[in-house]
Amino acid sequence: MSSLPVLPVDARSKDESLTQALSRMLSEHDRALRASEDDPHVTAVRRLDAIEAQYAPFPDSLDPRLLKAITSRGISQLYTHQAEAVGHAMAGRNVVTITPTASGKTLCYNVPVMDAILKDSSTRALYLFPTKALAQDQLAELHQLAELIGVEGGGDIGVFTYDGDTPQDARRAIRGRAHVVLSNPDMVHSGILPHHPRWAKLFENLKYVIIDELHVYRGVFGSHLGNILRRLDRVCRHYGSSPTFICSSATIANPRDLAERLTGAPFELVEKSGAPRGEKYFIFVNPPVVNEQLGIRRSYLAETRRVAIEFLKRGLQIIVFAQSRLSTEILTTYMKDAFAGPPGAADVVRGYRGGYLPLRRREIERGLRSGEVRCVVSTSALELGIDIGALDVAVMAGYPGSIAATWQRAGRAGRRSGRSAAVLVASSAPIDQFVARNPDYFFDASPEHALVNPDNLHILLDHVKCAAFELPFTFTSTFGAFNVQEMLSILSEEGFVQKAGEQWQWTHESYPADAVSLRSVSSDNFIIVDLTNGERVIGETDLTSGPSVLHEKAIYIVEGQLYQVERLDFDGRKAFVRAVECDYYTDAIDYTKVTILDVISGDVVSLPPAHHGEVHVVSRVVGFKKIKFYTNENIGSGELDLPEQQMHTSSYWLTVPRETMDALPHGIADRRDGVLGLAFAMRNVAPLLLMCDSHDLGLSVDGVTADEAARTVGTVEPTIFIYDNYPGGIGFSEPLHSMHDDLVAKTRELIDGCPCRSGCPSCVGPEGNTGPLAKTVASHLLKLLSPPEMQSA
Amino acid sequence: MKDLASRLRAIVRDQRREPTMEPGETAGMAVSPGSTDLDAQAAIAAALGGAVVAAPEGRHDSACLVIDRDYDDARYHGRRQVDACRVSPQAPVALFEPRLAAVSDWARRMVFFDIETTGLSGGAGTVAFLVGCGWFEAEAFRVRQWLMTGPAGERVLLDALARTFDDASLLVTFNGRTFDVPFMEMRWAFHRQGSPVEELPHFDMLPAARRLWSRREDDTSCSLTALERSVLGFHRVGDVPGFEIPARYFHFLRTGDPAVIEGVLEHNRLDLVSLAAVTAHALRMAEDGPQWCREPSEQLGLGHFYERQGDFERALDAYALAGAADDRDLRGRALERQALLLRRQQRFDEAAATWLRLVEGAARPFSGIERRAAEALAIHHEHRAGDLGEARRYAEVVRGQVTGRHVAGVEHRLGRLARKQEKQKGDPLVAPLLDSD
Repeated sequence: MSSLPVLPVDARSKDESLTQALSRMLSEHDRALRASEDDPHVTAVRRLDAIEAQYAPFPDSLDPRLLKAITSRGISQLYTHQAEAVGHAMAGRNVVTITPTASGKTLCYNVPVMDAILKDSSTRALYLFPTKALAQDQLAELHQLAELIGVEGGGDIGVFTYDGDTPQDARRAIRGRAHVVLSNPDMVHSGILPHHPRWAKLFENLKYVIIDELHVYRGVFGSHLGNILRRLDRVCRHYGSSPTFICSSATIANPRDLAERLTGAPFELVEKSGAPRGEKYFIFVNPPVVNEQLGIRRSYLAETRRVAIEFLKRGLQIIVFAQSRLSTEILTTYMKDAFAGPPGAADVVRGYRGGYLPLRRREIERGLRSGEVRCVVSTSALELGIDIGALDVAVMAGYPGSIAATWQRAGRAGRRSGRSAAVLVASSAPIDQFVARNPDYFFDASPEHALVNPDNLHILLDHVKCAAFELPFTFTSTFGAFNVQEMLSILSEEGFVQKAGEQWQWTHESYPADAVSLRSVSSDNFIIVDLTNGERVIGETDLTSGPSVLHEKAIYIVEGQLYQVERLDFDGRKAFVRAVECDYYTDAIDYTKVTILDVISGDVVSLPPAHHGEVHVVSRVVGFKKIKFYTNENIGSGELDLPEQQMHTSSYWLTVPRETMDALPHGIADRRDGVLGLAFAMRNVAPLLLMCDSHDLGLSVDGVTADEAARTVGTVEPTIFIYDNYPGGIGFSEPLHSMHDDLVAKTRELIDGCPCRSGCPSCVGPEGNTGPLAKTVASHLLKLLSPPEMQSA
Repeated sequence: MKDLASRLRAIVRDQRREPTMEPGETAGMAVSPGSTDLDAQAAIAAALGGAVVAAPEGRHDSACLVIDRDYDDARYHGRRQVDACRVSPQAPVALFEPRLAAVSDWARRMVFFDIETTGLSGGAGTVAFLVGCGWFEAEAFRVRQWLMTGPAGERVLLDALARTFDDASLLVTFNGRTFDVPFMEMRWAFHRQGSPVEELPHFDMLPAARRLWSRREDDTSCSLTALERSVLGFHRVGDVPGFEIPARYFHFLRTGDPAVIEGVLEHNRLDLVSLAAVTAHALRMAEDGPQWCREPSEQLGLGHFYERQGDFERALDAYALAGAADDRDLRGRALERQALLLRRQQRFDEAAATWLRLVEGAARPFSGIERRAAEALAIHHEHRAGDLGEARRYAEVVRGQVTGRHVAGVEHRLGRLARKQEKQKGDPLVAPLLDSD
């Protein structure tokens, strides 16, 4: 336990403290470079130069009251990107702006919105934020601006949040008085669009729709938003308005494409920021291997703690990002243990994650801005634009999963002038190891594409119902890519709508928006009840992973405490556990069967032997293994009888041709191990290419089960399926198919670049799970599957 | 690969929780009410005893029926004759709805109003498929209903309703302030029309009914059908329960079977007649005064209204009458109101006497009201009467009746009383100066 030195006040001494803190890592990196170490501890150090600000004047047509209000805040000119975005928006062109942290993105939309309201007080604007906290943050800023405009004689501009926290009795007043409504997609979906007549004033005069943090809307969430915006468009047309969209996004590969896909309208892109930036160091740290045989590295959480303490000791203010709520809590505990002040003193180390009460969060944010809080350990909750001031260092415990998110988190450290640093501490996950060992991939490659599929049939159909509820479809209406008339006639078979006159009338008692949750596949989950001392709920798990971690006799771990599941009440969604002491954990054996329904693309005979299409997935947990801690020995197993889960989704698949299998100079069992190892690695590389969460994808390998292989030696062509883990598919399969060559190349880099001898959790999987030759065979397979010009490499 | 239709069907059926209709029901589609076939419309209208409303100019379809029913003055609705449901212009309606004090001609043409909807959410996809209005004609109470037989009928219905409201001097509803009126405003807004009810005086009978006839203080379920039984002595036979109404309408839309919707029309008509009768009953009661009430709950309710309008003497009389009730809860509520009002008027001794009636002989354990009365007596004796011994006696009574969070408050009082008594003993001259609470 140690106490902290005072925070350095001026920029110069901050820079010096940072230089001192970095010097050890920099020299370690230099030493490794000189010795060309195989597995260096510090794998990359990059210095990003400071960038000067570029300014542009305010537009001439700007209302003078607004101009005065802005200049009274000390802003005498705009950054170039702000001026460009404002110009597009004021001319009524949809615009999406790439906005790094602290680049002043709010002016990009507040200027055109306030200007329009000043010129015509009936004007209305709708702001969408992915979280309520962000809306609150913006509310404060907009209130301030509206007040300054009021001082300049701009009248009373009403700015209100409208979300689940808005009191019922305030809602009516807000509907009438708000010029600017700050909300979120969930509220627009279930609270505003279905009640559009009450919002007639807003929709009649809606001039701007602002979508902040656009990059967040990918995958399922984005696919929902795309449909909500289709519904918004219908309602706006009904009231005779046609709003202009102003979007801001973190750096992704396809901001314009994403905006156009979500809104169905053409967009202008502003991508060059005019905001200044101080010098910044970006450092990759890979914890050293402690058990070479098993490829086990020192805990990345312990490594993160070590790195963070180094900076904290020198009086710097830091943010530590963890990957999960659990690791956030563990790291918070570590850091608090290291820096507990005298009893009763304010906490200098704080945790921050979803699930904390809003008041506590606001208190932590204030503490960060005032400098009272010196270290905050957070989940991705602080990755988004909440105002926490400029910190000195961002430490990431584990690769955030995408290039975009990594830059976004790194951006939490750094002021407009002065030095800052971002440190990425790799975990032993394959993705982390790939990034840590291939820093160029991270620094040179473009960030990921954000993918959405608003035409996923499941999602689309839900929103067709909502849309039919809001405004009747006519017999010529369209909605999305599929024939909505056909969808409506199916819905009429079930009594949801009915043909009447020239339109489809909603004829159902339900309120369809209530049945659709935007944020997750299913809101259903399992509750874990500890029976050791009475009944106590100790956790929850989502529905799909429930059976594999909560089956009977499973060992369930919470903060190092082991529990054994005594009973799983599948229908009641409860698992009853009791604390135990044992030296093993359990690993469920899933049986997943994928059946191809329809091949959408990929020629069966030509190379590459990859396809994508529609599949049917049946999965079931059939048993489990008991695995000893530390040695990873398999010390027993059990059978289970759990209900199977089925879905129709889309998939990418790779079939290894028979001649390729035959060309392998290995036995049948080793060939099988090689295919499984290859699948394990590919499945871990795919999220890297797709910019998606690891849970968004499922893996199944066909044609490799032991008996099958024995029966059909040499005749089976194994197939690796990487499927969208969401009914109907979310649109990952097609791009993954188009990135097939890249997928093979990156997987090859991962496996061949891994310093382990014969497989580890970071490449083809731990040796205990696969066979001794898995890595060798997988590597060989990849060579054979690569395009001819790459095979010699 | 399954075709789009079968995939859609699989998704829709998978999501469905409960069947929305019987299998094979669509097969027997007879007359489609939503069709523009005027003959079909006319056939349904005839079966329901109504007529097709003329379509607006330039359109040949209407899809809206109007059905009139007259309830003759001589007819009885329960114990009450229809003629006796007429309201005198002198009736003190502002006692129940203070906003009507400024409206002079409210009795000129009262329109009773009730709607049946396709759902309760009030979202854009729910409509009032049946709108009923009732008013008094020369020799009868007339109920006029508009029934939508398809979406094209809504504009016609809204226009007809607006014209009816144009002549009205007062709108009378049961829960209309929260439900019927905002619902219809939303429908007018949907069609981007102004609301014709915005300026129309409105009397919602439900809040008054709750005050007059709720059995218990926390009883907020005060349905019209319960009232017509208890207040009017009217019993419905074969009534369509409210939850069935949307499903019946959807069935009617699919099949065009008038028999399915007839029960809904009757339900709506009875609601309107009962509303008129209950309203007349309440206003007559207000005219006659509490001594003529049958029920103590009515006396207590009238007391509330008198108190609200500042007529404290009549309020006290009404509470006193209700305070003679046998029902312990009702008697308690009346006496408590009476005591509180007396205290507000600085009539402390009378207030204390009223509280004493509540505490004396009250069975243990005390109700909340009785405990509060004992507390009030302790306060009265400590601060007003200056009798610390009595104050302590009542505080001890309270102490014996409380648990949980109330205990600390009583203990505090007892401690203070004990200290005061000590001081009083020591120096009787200072005692009166020690009063502070």
